[in-house]
Amino acid sequence: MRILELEIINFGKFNHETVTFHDGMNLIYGENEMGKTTLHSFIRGMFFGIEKQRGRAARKDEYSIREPWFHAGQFAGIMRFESGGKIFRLERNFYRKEKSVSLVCETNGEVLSVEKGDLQVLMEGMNEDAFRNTVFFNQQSAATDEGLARELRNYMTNLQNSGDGEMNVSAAIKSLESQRRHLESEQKRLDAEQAEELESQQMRLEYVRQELLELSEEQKHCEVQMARIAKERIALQARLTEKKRSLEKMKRELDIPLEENAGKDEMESWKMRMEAGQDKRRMLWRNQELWLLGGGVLALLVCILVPHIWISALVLAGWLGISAIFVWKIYRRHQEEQERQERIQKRMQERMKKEIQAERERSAKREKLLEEKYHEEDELAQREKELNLEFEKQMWNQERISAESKEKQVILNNLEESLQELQEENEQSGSIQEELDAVRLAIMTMNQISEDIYKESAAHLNQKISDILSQITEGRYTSVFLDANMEVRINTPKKLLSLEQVSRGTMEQIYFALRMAVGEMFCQDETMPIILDDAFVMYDDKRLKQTLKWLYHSKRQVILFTCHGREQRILDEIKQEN
Amino acid sequence: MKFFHIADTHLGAIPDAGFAWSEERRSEIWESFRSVVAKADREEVDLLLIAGDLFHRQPLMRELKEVNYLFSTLKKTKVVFIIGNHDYLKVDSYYLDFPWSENVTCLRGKECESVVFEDLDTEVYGLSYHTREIKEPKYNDLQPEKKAGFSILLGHGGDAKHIPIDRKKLLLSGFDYIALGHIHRPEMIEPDRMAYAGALEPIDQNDIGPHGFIEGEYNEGKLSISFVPWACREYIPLELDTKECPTNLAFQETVRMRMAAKGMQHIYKVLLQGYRDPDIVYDLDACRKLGNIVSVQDESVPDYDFERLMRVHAGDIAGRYIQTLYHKDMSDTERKALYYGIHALLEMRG
Repeated sequence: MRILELEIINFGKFNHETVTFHDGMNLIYGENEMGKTTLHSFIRGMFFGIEKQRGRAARKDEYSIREPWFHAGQFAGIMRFESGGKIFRLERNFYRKEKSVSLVCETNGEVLSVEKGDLQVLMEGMNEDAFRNTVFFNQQSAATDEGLARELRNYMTNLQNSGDGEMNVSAAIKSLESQRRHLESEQKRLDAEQAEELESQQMRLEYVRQELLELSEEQKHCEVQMARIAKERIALQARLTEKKRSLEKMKRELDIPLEENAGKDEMESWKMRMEAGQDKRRMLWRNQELWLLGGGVLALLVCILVPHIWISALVLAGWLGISAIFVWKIYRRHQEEQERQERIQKRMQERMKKEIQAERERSAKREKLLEEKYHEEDELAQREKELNLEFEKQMWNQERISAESKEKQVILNNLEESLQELQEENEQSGSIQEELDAVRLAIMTMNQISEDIYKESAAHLNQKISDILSQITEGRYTSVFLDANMEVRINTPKKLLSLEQVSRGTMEQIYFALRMAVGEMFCQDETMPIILDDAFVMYDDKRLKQTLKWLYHSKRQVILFTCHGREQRILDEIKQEN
Repeated sequence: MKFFHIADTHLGAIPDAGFAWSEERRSEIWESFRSVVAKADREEVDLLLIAGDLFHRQPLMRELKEVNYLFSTLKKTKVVFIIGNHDYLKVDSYYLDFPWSENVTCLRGKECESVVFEDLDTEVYGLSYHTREIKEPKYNDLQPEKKAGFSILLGHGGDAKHIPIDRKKLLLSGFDYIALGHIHRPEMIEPDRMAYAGALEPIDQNDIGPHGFIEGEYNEGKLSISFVPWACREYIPLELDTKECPTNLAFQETVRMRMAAKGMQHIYKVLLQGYRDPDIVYDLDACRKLGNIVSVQDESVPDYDFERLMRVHAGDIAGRYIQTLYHKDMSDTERKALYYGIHALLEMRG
């Protein structure tokens, strides 16, 4: 690209001025305050416009500075330039109320659109930042050495990171990253859903497991109870048999009837005695009878044999008398015997009564004891019945527990199976994973490509910088690069230097070389004009000559504003040398 | 002699866990079984054959009681069933000592056994699974003993891990009818000779198409069988072409209309295929909410002409990007990565 003509309608101190440029080196010499910087600023303004800032910043902004001194409403200009063999006319109205811009190809009359980026295409894609950072040099970029060093460092660091300015890639990567994040959050959500499902399954599983555990506890408890009952039952049964045996014995003892037992022998003896008494009485009578009968017979004989009545009467009377005595005597003895018998009988009866009474008491006592024993036996039997019932209950319980356990076990196994299937299913489901893999691959590939491109261009750039630097320093400095610590390092044929080790002038030259190299990177088909506003103040004559020589030989359009005469002088020298 | 041949009822299964209709499906699976038993009773069918996988997992006692109750309501029908791989006879299975109603026969031997119904002049052969898998082909060499005029083989399996079946061999074995289960898709292998009844109800989203059971009648030496659709609903693949869906809303409308035409009770699997405008993004989430949709797959491909793009972008990053990823045997991921990247690059261009 070449700038052909500037037509300043109203800009700063200028109105209706026209400036024309030719190919190659254009040297614009002027004293201070002549308007060199205004012209320099006008060129940039034509390319990129001048925005009025807002508020406090507006007071000292470019717009305010360049606002025309007269006719503020006609803050405008025209620039004609050549690009790709065609001539273009760029008109711009800077006035904030009537801001406008138009671009026309004078060669073929085509109307182009600055808004749609046609101008930027003609400028090889350079935006304002790139323009300011490369071909457009302000008056003294940094006031101090440290400031320049810092600026140089920043420049190189930014260069390193932004590559060749291919903005599409990072925007595309950004867009892909956002898609990746979206997919990842989607996947997380799905994972969470699945995890929730799994968890709820697992909880159910855990619940059943807990129930099984409780059942087994219950089972244990039940077994303990059953063991206790069994033990108790055995003890009880032993006691019961014991009790039964003793009861049997007692019963046998009690079964003996009262009479048999109570004074049976005695009664017998009494009876015998009584019978003996009766026999005695009977015998008594029999002897007496014999005696009486014998006496009678004797008396009768006497009576017969002795025929004396009186003797007979006397004998008979005597017999009768004796008989009477006998009878009385027998009667008496009989009486006595009877009394004695009665006495005995009475005594016997009394004795018997007492005996029976005692026996009765004893038997009642025994009866009571027996009853107690029976009662105890009943109690034991009752207890046994209870125990049996309890045992049975525990048996049922155990049956229930084992049935429940079995069912729970089946449920548990089924749940485990379904959980496993669920897990397998989850592993299989992966349509999002596929998308995510694809996006990740896209990002990776793009990063790789952009890095490759950067590396390639960086190598290219380094080559360019080194070329320019060694030319403008006549080989004193061969290359410049950023080391691992992001420090600028400068190579000389003899040693490696850091930025602090070189002079201000060298620093300026390095900066110049960098900007030129980057500018060339931008411009592959077309070169951009190099516009310099008193950029070489800090150069000594030698450096200035080498730099101007490089510019002169670069065949590019150079617009150099200066307030010194030495540029012209040195340029003349260069021209003469060729 | 009339019979019903059902299979793979999978009682107790809960399909599509996490979806709104999941619980409903669980009860529909029971309901379908109940109604097919009721139908058998109503039509006084002689035999109800169940070719395995009556239950989805190990049955609980109460579940067996429910099923047995249903069987006990059959006035004329006799039931013969075998146990499949899903509810296989574990050592502590409730199947082992379950007191079935007297009209029910469970052929639960490890090896093939048979039951003869003299009044029907029919013999039914079968075996049950005692393990989750059986890799030996137990059916191929079976021969009926011809203890009755009509012999049926009740089989379960047919894949590598579940009694592989040599169909040709089995057809030559001499059984009059081979009633198969395990494969959920109904299939008439040989007309009036051998068939998979298929699952009575579809059990998961892979069981697409109609489901039901097989009805058969054997009369004077001649058997005829037919499939009876019985399931409450179907899983239906809904394949859409991008030509029908020029925009996202058109896509949703098409899905809605296609579902309405087939019936909203069904469960759909949406698959989108074809070339699409690279700028269109189909909202799959919104699509999922249109009905009973169990899956939405977008296999549509952005309509890029990579050969042309490569020429146009020969010098720039887009060109290099295509060059890096584009080749003849791209994997799915690579192809998708290509679409993602190109879309991002071209979108950012202007």
